[in-house]
Amino acid sequence: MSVERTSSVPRGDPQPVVFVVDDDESVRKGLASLLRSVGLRAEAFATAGEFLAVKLPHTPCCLILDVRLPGLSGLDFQARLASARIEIPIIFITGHGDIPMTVRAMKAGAVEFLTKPFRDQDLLDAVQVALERDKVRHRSEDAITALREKFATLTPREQEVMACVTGGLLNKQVAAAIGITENTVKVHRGNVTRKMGAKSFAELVRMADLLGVRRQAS
Amino acid sequence: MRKRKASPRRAPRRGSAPRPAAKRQPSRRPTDHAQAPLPALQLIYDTAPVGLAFLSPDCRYVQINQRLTEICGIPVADHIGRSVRATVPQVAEQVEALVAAIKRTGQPITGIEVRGQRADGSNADHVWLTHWHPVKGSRGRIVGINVVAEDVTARKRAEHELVERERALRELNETLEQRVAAETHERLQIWTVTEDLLVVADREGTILGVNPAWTATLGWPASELVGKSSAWLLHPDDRDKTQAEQIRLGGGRKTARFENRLRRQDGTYRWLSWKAVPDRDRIYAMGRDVTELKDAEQDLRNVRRELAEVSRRTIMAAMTASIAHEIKQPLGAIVANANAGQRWLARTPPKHDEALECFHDIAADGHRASEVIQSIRAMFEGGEQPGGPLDVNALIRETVAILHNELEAGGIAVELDLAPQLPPAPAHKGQMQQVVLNLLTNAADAMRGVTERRRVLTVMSEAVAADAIAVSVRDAGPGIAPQDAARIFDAFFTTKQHGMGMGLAICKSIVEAHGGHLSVASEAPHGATFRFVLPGDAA
Repeated sequence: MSVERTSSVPRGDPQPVVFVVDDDESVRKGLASLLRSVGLRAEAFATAGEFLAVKLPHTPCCLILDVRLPGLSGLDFQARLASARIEIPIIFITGHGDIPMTVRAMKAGAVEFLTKPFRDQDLLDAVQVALERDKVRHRSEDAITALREKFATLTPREQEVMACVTGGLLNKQVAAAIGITENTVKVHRGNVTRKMGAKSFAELVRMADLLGVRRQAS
Repeated sequence: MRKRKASPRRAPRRGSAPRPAAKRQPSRRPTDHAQAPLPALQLIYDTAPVGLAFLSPDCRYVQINQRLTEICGIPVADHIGRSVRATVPQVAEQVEALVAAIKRTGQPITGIEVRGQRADGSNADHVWLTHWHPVKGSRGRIVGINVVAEDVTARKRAEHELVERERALRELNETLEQRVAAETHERLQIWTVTEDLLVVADREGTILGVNPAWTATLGWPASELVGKSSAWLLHPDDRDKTQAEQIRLGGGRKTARFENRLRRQDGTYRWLSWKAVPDRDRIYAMGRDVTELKDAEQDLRNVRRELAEVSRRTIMAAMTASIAHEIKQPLGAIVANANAGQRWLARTPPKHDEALECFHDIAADGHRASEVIQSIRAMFEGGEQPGGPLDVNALIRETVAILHNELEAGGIAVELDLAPQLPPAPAHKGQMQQVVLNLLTNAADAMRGVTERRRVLTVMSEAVAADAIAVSVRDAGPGIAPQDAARIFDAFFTTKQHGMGMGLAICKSIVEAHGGHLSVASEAPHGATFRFVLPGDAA
């Protein structure tokens, strides 16, 4: 049944990757086999260090991480990833978890916290959620990248006008602020809307928001 | 001084010896003149132990015996016819006065003390008790004086000494009284001021006297306590043992330390610690109020019990966590593989090779889980059974291999310095592996923060005396702070951020259960060495 669910991953997308970090070889191998049996690509590592050495592909991925790792605990590793801005969704697994440990992991953004032995469906569901979350993240990252590219095609004066109008200034205020005529402002504004591909002023405001360029009215 | 033999028959002949009319020996003298003196009588006269003389009324010696001449040291012959003044001038005045008095009264004078002297003063100390009797002629006229002189020097001295002795004794008695009074006062002070309860009782335990501390401590006036036993004051739980102790005391045995509770007037109880001595028909006892001490002890016991309970629970939790983790690892793998196998077989077409591998791994992990349980059981089976002969070098190599990944991940180099001819140790493999594993893990942990030097972990084995072997694990970490060294083997003591503080405590107990010893030393310039010694078969 879960086979169907996993097949819901769009074919056109590059294949998602599930990383497994567990110092226990049997667990590592079993998990990898389970993930492969439902058509997922799995990559397993014994230590956090080995995982960090791998360059993350530009596809949805997630990490199945044992809490108890030699050297560095899974929770500490989670914190280290966060501080390094590596935003990979994490599913924690543990031989023996307690509530404070679980709370800490979930607060730090873990997708799920599973205690061994766990039901395969629970893990696969969690993997699904994690990959979906990562896919969304990828999408929004992609969207912002596209916006940045469009914004870069604007002239400096157009960028300034976009910042001012999305910040709530009237055309004549913009003209006064920048030191150009109101008519020139209107021309720039038309160019900005067209070049950014905004269907409405509201959409332009949202774009400015995402780009972080809205100039707040003083 | 005494000349016994000197008594020649030299009866004085010279001088006009008057006829003595005395009744005693001298009275014979005149007769001697008249008739020949009886030789026996003369002998008595000469050898009498008292001094005898017969003086003429004008104080001249008519007759004198040897004994009396001892006063002056002049021979008998030289006395006769000579005056007293000429022979013994020192006493002449006294003698002349006596003779004059007798002549006047005609009465004898007795009991006169005369201090005799020689011219050379050598008998200055002699005292003579003298008796003077007039000897009357036929017409009642005094014809002479008979003198009897008894040497009372010794008696006088004895008397004197006696008086002296009595005086000294009296003085002694007087000072003794004072001393006794002073000491009694001091002892009474102790009795009065001490905070300890002092009691005198008879052998049956009837109180004969108590000191004021009783009232101060228990509130009861002495009048309520004296005359009966203390049984009515006893805490009901202490009655039997107190009675037993009293019987022991009554039987003549000392009480070195005995504790019971006595009731205060306000109904509360005070703990008293007793010392008591039986002496003749009395028992002397001293009790100290130890109530505060007992309360503190009780508090301490409670805290200890709580701590022990907390420790027990924490150990159980730690053990459970550890066991759970160890077992759930293979169980997790088994379940994952079983699920994977099902899914491989459910695919179209089924992937048999993948499924087979899953089943293979399931079996392997099943065995692994079983081994874990086996080793846990071994761990709990106590240190009594020493286990078979253990090749400690092999154990070290095996354990280092188990930790290989972790050590490599931590950038730690392992150096083995194992003695080639190491005798096998009668030790339990599972338990010793736990110890070595723990020491290696600790060493690795200690070097985690080390960046300025190589992270080297040295494991050394050596044969030491009497078949014993020693294993040292040295790290290049920061070493052990002196304040931590004493507590490092205590349970729940840890310097690690996420440590339980159980590892070294367990290691120590395992090594000691094998009759061995685990110690730690800091190394210069850095690092620490944990070393354990296991006794051989000989031990």
